[in-house]
Amino acid sequence: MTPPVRVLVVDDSALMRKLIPQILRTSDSIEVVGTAMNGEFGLKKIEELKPQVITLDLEMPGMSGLDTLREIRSRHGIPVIVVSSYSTEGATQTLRALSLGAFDFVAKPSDVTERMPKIAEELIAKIKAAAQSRDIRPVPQPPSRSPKPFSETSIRPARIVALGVSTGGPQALQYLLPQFPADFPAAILIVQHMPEGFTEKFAQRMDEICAIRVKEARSGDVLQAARALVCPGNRHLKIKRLFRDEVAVLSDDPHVNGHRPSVDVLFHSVAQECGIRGIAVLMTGMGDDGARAMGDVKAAGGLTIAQSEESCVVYGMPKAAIERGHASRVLDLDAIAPALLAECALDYRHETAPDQRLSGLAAGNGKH
Amino acid sequence: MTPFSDERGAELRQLFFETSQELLQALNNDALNLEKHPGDLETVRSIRRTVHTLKGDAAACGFHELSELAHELEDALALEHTSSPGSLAEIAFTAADAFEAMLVSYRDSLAPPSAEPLRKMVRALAQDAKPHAPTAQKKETGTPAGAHAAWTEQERQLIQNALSQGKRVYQIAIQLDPLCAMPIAARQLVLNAFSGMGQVLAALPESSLPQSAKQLLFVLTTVQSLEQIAARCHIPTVTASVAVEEVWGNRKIEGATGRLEENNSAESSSAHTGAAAPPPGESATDPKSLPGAAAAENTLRVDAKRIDSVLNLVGELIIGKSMLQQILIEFTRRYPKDTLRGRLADSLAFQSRILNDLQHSVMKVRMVPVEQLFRRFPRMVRDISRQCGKQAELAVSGQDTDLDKSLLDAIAEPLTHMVRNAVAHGIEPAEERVRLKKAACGTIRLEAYHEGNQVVVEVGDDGRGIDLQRVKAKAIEQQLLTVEESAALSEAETLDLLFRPGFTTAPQVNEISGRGVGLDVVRSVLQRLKGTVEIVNRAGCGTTFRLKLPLTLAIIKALLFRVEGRLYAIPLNAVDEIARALESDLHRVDGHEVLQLRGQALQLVRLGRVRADIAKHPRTRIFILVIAAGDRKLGLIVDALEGEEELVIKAMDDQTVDTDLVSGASILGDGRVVLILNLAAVVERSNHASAKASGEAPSGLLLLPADLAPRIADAVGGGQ
Repeated sequence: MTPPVRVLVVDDSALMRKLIPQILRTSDSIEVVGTAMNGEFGLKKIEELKPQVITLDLEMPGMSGLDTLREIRSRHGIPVIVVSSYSTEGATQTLRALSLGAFDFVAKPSDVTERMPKIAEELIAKIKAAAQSRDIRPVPQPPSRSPKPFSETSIRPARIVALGVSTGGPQALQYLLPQFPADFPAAILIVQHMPEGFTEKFAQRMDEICAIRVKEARSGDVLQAARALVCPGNRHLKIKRLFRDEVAVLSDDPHVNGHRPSVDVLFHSVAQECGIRGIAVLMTGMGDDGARAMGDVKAAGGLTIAQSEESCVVYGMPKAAIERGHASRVLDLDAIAPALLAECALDYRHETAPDQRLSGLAAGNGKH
Repeated sequence: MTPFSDERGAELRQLFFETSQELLQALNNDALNLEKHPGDLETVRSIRRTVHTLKGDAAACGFHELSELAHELEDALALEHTSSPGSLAEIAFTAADAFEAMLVSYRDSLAPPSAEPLRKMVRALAQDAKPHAPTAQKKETGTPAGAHAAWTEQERQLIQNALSQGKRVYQIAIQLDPLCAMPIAARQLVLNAFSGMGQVLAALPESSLPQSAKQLLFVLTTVQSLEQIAARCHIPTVTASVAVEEVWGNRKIEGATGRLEENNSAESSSAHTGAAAPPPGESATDPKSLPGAAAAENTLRVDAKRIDSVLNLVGELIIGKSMLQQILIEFTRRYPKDTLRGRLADSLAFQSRILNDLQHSVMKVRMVPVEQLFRRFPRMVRDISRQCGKQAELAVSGQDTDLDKSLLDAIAEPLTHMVRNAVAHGIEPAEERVRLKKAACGTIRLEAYHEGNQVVVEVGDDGRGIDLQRVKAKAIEQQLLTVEESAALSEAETLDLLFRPGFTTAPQVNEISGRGVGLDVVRSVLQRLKGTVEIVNRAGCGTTFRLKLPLTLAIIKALLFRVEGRLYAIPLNAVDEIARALESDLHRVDGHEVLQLRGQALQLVRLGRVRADIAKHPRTRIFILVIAAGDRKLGLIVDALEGEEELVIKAMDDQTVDTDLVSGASILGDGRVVLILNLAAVVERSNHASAKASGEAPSGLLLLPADLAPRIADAVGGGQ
């Protein structure tokens, strides 16, 4: 048996310093080796205790959580999981932490008596994933861009790219999305498992660092080329054809696969509404959300891409899709953007001659 | 995955109640700080952090109302505030009180109070900050007339397209009849009316119409005229009023609005980024916060009862040690040549050294700095002085002084009472102070320090002091004494009246003080703790209450002596020296016995009677224990010395010992019972003795009932 993952808990709340270890104790494969009440002590204890994963609160007196994170990343390179509670400021900070190389984040445990199993499951899985992860490259801070021009009449997207991602997602998206150019001809829809309240900030941040426009989806948003819509936490994202546009629709339908938003819901509606124009990309994440409906996209003639095991932080969702035979292609994270660019550019060029494209795709996909 | 058990949940909530107290304390302190330095950003940040932690902790325990309220406050505090920085302190105080009230309800498993005053303040705060807050400017804040702001992207595009194709577009606002019970059906009726006219481009609210909605908004493209539309929409008993307006030339407005919005959001995100980044000078650590943090690091929360039980066991061990030592003495007597004796002695010495360390370690665990108690007072002084319309500041010193936790808890109530008194009665109103050429703002002094084996806690004020004449007058009025008696009273005796049950000098009874429960309670608590309380009064310049407490209640190194055939002990560190003297060396001055010791007059207290054999042997020297009593010394005349011993004090209730002269008892290794003398009480008695008629023969202070020893032996479990 492998030795348990050594975890250090850094939090200024005495309650959390007790609660988080208690939660982690439910797993045999994790050992909390210590707690620290602020950044300075956290750094000291890292030297002493040599933890493999650190859970970090961002709101602490003295040395701020972000400074602590910077230190940990630059000095020790230990994966950090941010434990944050939602507030306007908190969400911004959390996303900043992710861009500084935090592995992932979890919402502060709430209602522990009722929700314990779910809280524990998420935290434990993320810690295990963090312990196994290879080093995460911090995303370089691009210079802040001048506001993107508002397109009066939107360009109808040639293709619809649906991205499903979970654990390790913020990192992967921060790497992937900036690679799309401002004239990217496809619309992007993103389901990232993220708690309510964080997605708006996340979209704002992405918008800052990307050439394409990124916003949190609202019901009635039109799918436009070179724009990504991020599904808000605790809602489902579907698309719907209205007149000549495709429009984003949010719903409060029940959780699917234990998730809301669920990748399966998005993929399913992409398959229904877009047919061969749809592209489903399933990236790093725990569980198998999205794997089933990826088959729908494929069956409808769309392209399906799964992220490769080597480039995944957690090889769960892509693996599930690949095992079911739903992935047309398996690509490294590095290769996803180029592949999408090539695919959509091709479509763009040949839009006047869809038959040609169809025949090319049908051969590769074995459409039944 | 194991579910979270109820027991663990209860434990968690218990921890929450404890830690939240500390958070509220921090909140109060920051509020005070902010009141002194309005607009201090670091303090505001600290408040926000505290509220943030409270929010997270409360949410973890499932206390949603508290968590949500804290959340709102936190978000409001995160905004920039230009106006009324002073009100932030007020909000923090209100928040501390509101949270406290909610905590109390949670603890009693009641529904939490609504905390409406705080909610109002938070809302006002959020609103006040809105113009400066980029993120608060949501798209929903569009004007109701400019309906375009509420249309979704897709609807806006449709309107746009229709306009660009040269179609006529109308916006129709329909007020539903207030008596119309079915707004959903009404909406459908209106839509039906439109269906023959043209295309509905947009509708508000969306199809999932809330029952309460009374206004409908549509955008319609049609070739019909404004009047025709209005006529079609007029459906009796369903629509009350219809307003139709052509959206023309709106292409520009629409576009401009859209652009403005988008620009706003882009700007706002970058502006917000700037605000969230730590200012350059501040990214380094805050040195001020470090020492406190260091002290709290690695803190373990342990139930005080557990420590008590460890301490009890240590006490038993010490008794066991003296038993072993007795055995060693016996062994040495019987087998003086045995080699085993040396080894036994060595291992006993080793064991007693460890035991000593163990005892001190455990004792230290029980000691906490008085700061834990003192920190509640700044807020209290502020509140009381406001209520009384006075100006008072609190000056605290000696917060690091350590005190046994149980003592600390016990004096919390008396101390609170005295601080209230000091503000309410001690400090004069500001005008009066100015007239007296004092600073307008009075000072309340809280001080703690070690003195001998005691801890002294002082509450002082620089107010008007106690008016002795008024005290006497009140006492006469309350028929506590007669006019004649009052004339003969010394200052100390007059002040002593204040400790009488029910005595109050406050002219009116109010919320803060003067409820008739007064210093008598303070004194009785102190007596229970084997401590004393005294008043230092300087008329016109202030009053100081001095509480003296034993350092600890548990184990002492003691000097054993004999009085009237009974064994007594006093703490060894209280003894300055042991003097020997002849009876004939003693003199009487002012009704006291006095000894000339190295040129100094030493007041004596006779604990027993004059020994009968003295008369026969006038050259017999008697023992005098010289003890320090505050700033002076006192000599205790005892019959014989017995040696030093480490004693585990067993506290005794008032039924067993009805004199305050004895503060406890202990058992020696050989089973004998020792009474521990309460030096504070002895000193106090010696002061009062001065008033006694001076003619009497010096009588023993320690003439206790004959059956006392067996009673105590029973109580402490001796002789087993």
